Amino acid sequence: MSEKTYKHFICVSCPVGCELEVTMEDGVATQVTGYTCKRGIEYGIDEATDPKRVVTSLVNVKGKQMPCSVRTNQAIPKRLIPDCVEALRGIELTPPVKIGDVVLKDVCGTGANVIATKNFD
Amino acid sequence: MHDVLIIGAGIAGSACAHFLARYDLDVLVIDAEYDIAVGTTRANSGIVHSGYDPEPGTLKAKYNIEGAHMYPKLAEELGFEFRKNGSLIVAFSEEERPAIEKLLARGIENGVEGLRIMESEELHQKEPNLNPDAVAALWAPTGGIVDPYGACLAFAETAARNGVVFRFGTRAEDVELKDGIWNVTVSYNGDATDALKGTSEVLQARIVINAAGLDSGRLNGCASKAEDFKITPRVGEYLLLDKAHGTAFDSTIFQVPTKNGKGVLVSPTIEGNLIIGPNAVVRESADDTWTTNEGLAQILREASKTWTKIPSWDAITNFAGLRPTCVESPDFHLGEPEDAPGFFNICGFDSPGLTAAPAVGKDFAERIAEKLDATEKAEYIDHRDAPRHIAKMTDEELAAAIAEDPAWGAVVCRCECVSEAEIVEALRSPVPAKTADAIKWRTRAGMGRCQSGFCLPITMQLIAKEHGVDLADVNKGRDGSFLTFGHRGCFDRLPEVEMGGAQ
Amino acid sequence: MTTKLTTNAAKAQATKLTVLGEINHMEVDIAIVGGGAAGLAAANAAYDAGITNVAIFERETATGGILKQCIHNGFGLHRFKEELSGPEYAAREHEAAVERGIQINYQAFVLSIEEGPLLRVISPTLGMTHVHAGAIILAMGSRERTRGMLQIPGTRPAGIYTAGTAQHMINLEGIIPGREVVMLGSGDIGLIVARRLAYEGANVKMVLNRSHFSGGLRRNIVQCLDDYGIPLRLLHTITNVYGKNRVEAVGVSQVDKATKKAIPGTEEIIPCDTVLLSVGLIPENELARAAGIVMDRGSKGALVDQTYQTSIPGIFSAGNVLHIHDLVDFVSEEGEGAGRAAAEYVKNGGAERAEVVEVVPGSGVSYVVPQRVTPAAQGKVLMRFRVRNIYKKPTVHVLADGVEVKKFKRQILIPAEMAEIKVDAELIAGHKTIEVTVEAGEPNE
Repeated sequence: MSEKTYKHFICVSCPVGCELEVTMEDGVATQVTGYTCKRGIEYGIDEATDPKRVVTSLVNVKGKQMPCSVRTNQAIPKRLIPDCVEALRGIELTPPVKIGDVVLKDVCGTGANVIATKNFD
Repeated sequence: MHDVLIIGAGIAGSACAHFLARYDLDVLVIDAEYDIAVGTTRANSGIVHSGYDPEPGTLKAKYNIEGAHMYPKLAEELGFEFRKNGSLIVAFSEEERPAIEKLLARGIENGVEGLRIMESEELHQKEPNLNPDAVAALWAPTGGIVDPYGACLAFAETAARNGVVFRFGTRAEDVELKDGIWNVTVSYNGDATDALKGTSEVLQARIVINAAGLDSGRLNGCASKAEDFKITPRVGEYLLLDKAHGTAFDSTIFQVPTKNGKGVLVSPTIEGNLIIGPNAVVRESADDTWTTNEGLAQILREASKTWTKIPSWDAITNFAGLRPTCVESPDFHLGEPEDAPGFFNICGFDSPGLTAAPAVGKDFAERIAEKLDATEKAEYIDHRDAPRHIAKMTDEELAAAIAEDPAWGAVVCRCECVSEAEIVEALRSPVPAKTADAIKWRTRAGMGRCQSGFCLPITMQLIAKEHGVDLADVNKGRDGSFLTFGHRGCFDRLPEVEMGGAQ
Repeated sequence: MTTKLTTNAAKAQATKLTVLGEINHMEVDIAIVGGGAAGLAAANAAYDAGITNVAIFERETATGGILKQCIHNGFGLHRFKEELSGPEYAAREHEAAVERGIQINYQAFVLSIEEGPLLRVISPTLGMTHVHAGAIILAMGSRERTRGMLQIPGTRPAGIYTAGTAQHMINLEGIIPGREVVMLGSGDIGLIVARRLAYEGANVKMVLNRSHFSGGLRRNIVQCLDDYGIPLRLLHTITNVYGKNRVEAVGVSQVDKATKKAIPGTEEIIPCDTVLLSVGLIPENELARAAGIVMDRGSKGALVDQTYQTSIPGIFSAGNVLHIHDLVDFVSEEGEGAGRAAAEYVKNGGAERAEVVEVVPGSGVSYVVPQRVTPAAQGKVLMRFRVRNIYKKPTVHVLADGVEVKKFKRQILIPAEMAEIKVDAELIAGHKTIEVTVEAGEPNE
């Protein structure tokens, strides 16, 4: 028999801030209540099962004081953020760097690439 | 061995250094801090008092009057900012009128020129923002406003150009007279760039000037048993208003003095801000320069008697300064104690110390020169060009300056309009600025509305480049006031993620 | 005012004529003060409207303004239909300006705006230059509120920064301003910086917020604080700073919700080495004020009409210098509006300014932009405003001389998010005053 548990979130899809309750059974979200629009359902399920975030950070550039800003090109599981941050700490780019250049491929096995968001000559 | 060792690079020590620099003497100035004027000189009202306040016959009265006379000419010769805006001591009711009449009589006895009672109509015409209740005021036209840091810097730089050596991060621990020579034990507590940091040594001098401000009582105790007094730090808290209010008053507005001092004043500053303060509270130590909610509320409350509608929301900063007060005998303690020949005290140098400093410095220099049988230098630089600021240049001057060096056209501090060239000049001064605070006080970069939010990173870069230090090692002020923890990667810790969704 | 249209050739010549040591003169159709999001968009829109002699005067060494240091994502959803980081957004705007051949002057600082209009500009390369402009667009952005403005008492050690300064240090200089951090204020920049610090290995101990609601967006509270277990303490403030050389601790006190004042006796000492302030932005209008442009006390920006024209004909204002925005997309949109209007002004001169309708904030509204609507307004007039409190299921009422002419229903309005309505120009015309008010549909907590 599966046990029902409940998780609570405040939806961030818009300023209304609906208080969502997500019913979990065997690690699966089976019901969302408290939403006003359907964005709330999606948000509640994602947050309760495997929340994802775009990670934005910095990597050093050889010979430059200013670091290069980077981001993942898609959201990655939130639980992998520390690993992603750690992976980026070891990287040093060599100029020139162009916006969109891949800094780190398939970061932490997520399928997402980390890309540069700044140009360096 | 030095001829003269001056302890303290505040306004008193720097003024002495300036006047001694005329003579063919080896003069060393030491200061425990990282720059000139870090103590009392930096944080006060910036007023050149006309001299109506001190008790007649006191040293305060004598040197106040002499000093006030000296300021206009010194400002011109040495290129620092001074404006004779006059002071008003306001009676807010007929009950207070006798007090200003008493000050008038005292001022006349002290020899202050131009004093008179200004009646209500003229008073309110002159100062339209003054509380309408004001009935009359003592008008002291010789009162002025000065940039105390700027005056101190002018003295110090002129002295340095004439051969006086300044050494910062050098604290006088002890003084002792041995075989007619003063032995001054010093410890070096400067920043990481100081090769002597953490060591100590004994410096010798024929003459010592004790201009150590809040620490001067302790040093006097080391040198003399005959003179015995204690210096108590008394704090004065201030609020500085945005330049939008710098013209709310033209003269310096005092209230009738109380036993605690000259009371809360409202005054334009030489830089065009408006200053409100100070109160007077006794503090434990010379480092206790914090401000308090109660203190700031108190000065606002008391100042509202002068200006009923103070725009306190337009305050850009608040600060506190400590006065080195000798509570039991509140006059200045100047000169050699009878058991310490060659040890010149400048103690209990609270208000009107700023005004009196050049007069004391000149007097001491003459006495010391005579004592050491010193002659005047053959070559002496008696003039200092005022530091150039783009904020005060005409378009023609700007065009010429930028042609001479493009750095004059590179604005670093947008609020106060300070160029890169001004900062570089301060970094290359004969008494060089080495920290963000020293730059701020010399150039005003970071003094304005944004309080260095925009320019601090640029200033740090210029300091690092000029002095050959790492950007991450630039200090705000003294050693230990580090601005950053280092470059990226200085911490190992990884972020910890919380999955959220409390059950 | 007479305006001279100069050609690109003349522009090039004017630039070439730069003589160091003498006051130079430059003639442009439109001078733009500031090369951030608003300034770049204004320049590009003015160009696209047919005015090609446009010059940007940017005080820094690169365009983009604050976007340069906003390395987080979330920019451009409206404008580019994708989520970009700040530097990417800035780069797109910059490239658009470069494609159009917009003249961008770097390290160019505008000292003042004089009659003419004329801008007194200095830069290492321009020297001292008088820029004679057909029209001017003010796009100087904003600055952060400081400790001094909050009058936080205590000592004055190293380690007290605004969030934006800390962000600059980390993202543009690669230096780390703090290890154990307490933040006052939960503005969006502060929240973003808290996460940034966590990534760099610092420990943000708590974020304090004086009022009972945050000044930042909920998304940022969740994704910058909650995700990393950083506590947000509402109704708390810093009442003291301790530490001689570097910050050693702060005193944190509870705040009374009703009086908004710290409650004496509740101070708790929190050890830390850094205090960051994220307590609001102020439009940087010193230049405008000195030029005699009329200001709005509510928005702290210039008082403008629906074309973003200020009280001085030919001078326009857009972006954060006009009022504080939360989305750069709207800054760009506003910049474009000002750019088009300035181009129109250069081509056809100023519109009739008589019989303008005054727009004023009413109950619950802190300001409305524009503050004036001229008879030239056509179609829908966009009005942007901020509310003073949280309103659930509110109604926004538009009153013309006291009589309601239009109302709008909303799900929620919060002070952290700019609100907007579009009102038919016909409903506005002919009246003296338009008042915008907000009324809660459900009680506030």
